[in-house]
Amino acid sequence: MENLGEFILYSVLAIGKGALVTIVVTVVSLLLGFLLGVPLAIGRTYGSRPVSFLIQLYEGFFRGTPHIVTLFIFYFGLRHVGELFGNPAFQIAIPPFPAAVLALGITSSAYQSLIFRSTIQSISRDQYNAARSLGMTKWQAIINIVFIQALRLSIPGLTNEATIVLKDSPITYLVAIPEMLTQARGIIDSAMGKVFFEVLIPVSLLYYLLFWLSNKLFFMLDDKLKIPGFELERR
Amino acid sequence: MEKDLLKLYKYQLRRVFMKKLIAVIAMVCVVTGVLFAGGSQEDKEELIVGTSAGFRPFEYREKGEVTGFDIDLMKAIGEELGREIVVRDMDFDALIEAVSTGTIDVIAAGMTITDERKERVDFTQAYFVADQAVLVRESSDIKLNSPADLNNAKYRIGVQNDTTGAFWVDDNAANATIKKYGKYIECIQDLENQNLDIIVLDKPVAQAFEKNRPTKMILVIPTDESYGLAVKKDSPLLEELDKALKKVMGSDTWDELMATYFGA
Repeated sequence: MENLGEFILYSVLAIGKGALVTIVVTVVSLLLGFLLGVPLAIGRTYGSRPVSFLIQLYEGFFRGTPHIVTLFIFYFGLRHVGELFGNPAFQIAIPPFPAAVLALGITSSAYQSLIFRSTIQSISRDQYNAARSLGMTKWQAIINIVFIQALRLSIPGLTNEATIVLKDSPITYLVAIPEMLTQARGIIDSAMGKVFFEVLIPVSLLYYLLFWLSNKLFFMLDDKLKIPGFELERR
Repeated sequence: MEKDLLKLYKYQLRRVFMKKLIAVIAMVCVVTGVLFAGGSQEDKEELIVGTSAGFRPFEYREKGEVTGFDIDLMKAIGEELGREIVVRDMDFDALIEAVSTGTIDVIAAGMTITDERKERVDFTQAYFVADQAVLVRESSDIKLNSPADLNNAKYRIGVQNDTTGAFWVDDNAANATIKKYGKYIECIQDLENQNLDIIVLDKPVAQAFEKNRPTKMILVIPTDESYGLAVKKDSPLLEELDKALKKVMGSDTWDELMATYFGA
């Protein structure tokens, strides 16, 4: 740390790189969670009893276990699957980035499934019945009538989920993903701990900025999709 | 009439959602694609080195990059083997699991060769010999005559998880309050905050902290530990690494490394 200006420059660059990684990890995880969460929620509400039960187990497992365990299962655990079947040479090797995204995304899918389930159930059953009586098939009615409305009502819940995933993303440090907080710790390390909150506070402000941005985006989406005078309105 | 309205409504919603969804998904695919493609365009085969920065002078961060004695040593070995070195920085206590599952190829983290660790990984020949040391605040008036004095209920001792320092205090200072941290930096922070009285750590690292932080080294615990590089059990890499390590240790590069990091 002979040169303060140089130190600050490298720190800002490192944290900027970290912020990009954080954004990518968060967005990809959320999308994965969305793509898995939607069928889960529909299966849970409209599926047969065994299907619904299995989904309940899945949700329970991923909501009820610490994220770190989920992450380690995907990163380390899957390499041990061969041993379970007496064939240690067989390994499922997932590189750090996909493992991190899978762990965060699958955990998020369990939460998102719950968000969608509550909104699907908030759409009156009469609408579904009416759609069926108009000649739609079961799936047409579920997707075109019920789910598409539920999706719009899910936006507030998803806003919250997005911020949760954003702030869960630092655990990917454990599999050596260079996200923002990891970079911050690296900077603290490179200064031998001479700076500590001088790094952590600006970084948390950056997290706040990302949180604010994601909220803004979701509110804009909500506004855009709002149908004036139709059904429920925000506020 | 109602049917038409329904159709229109359905159509509108679907159009808006689908367009947005497709756009977002496409964007993310492109971004991740670029991210993945970036790392895999080397001709040389990669050698993934796991380490845990924060162990100066062996591995630490400077200008955002992980560097240090171990990293430079691995670079020299990589040159011998004709392989590209990729450094992955993680917590020290995750390294053994990472190398034995193959997520990293080799550990270069000032890791002491111990029998317990040998059960899970294979070590190369030793490349460094070190002792443990006792580090306290500069203003501290703690006086120790022998390592046995540490076994005292009035001391709060900080160590890094899964290090030989941690094993040593577990075995020899069980009466003291032992606190385990993920990184030594956090120990130093807590030492300055008066939440710890003593840190037990490897001597070269203690000397580096002594130079840079308001701390002093008051005692050396002669443990005579050897650092080795660790690979997965029965890995064919071990022989190659041993050969390359021997070659590097006999070359001028080694003297330069020692001079740069230890001034010897």
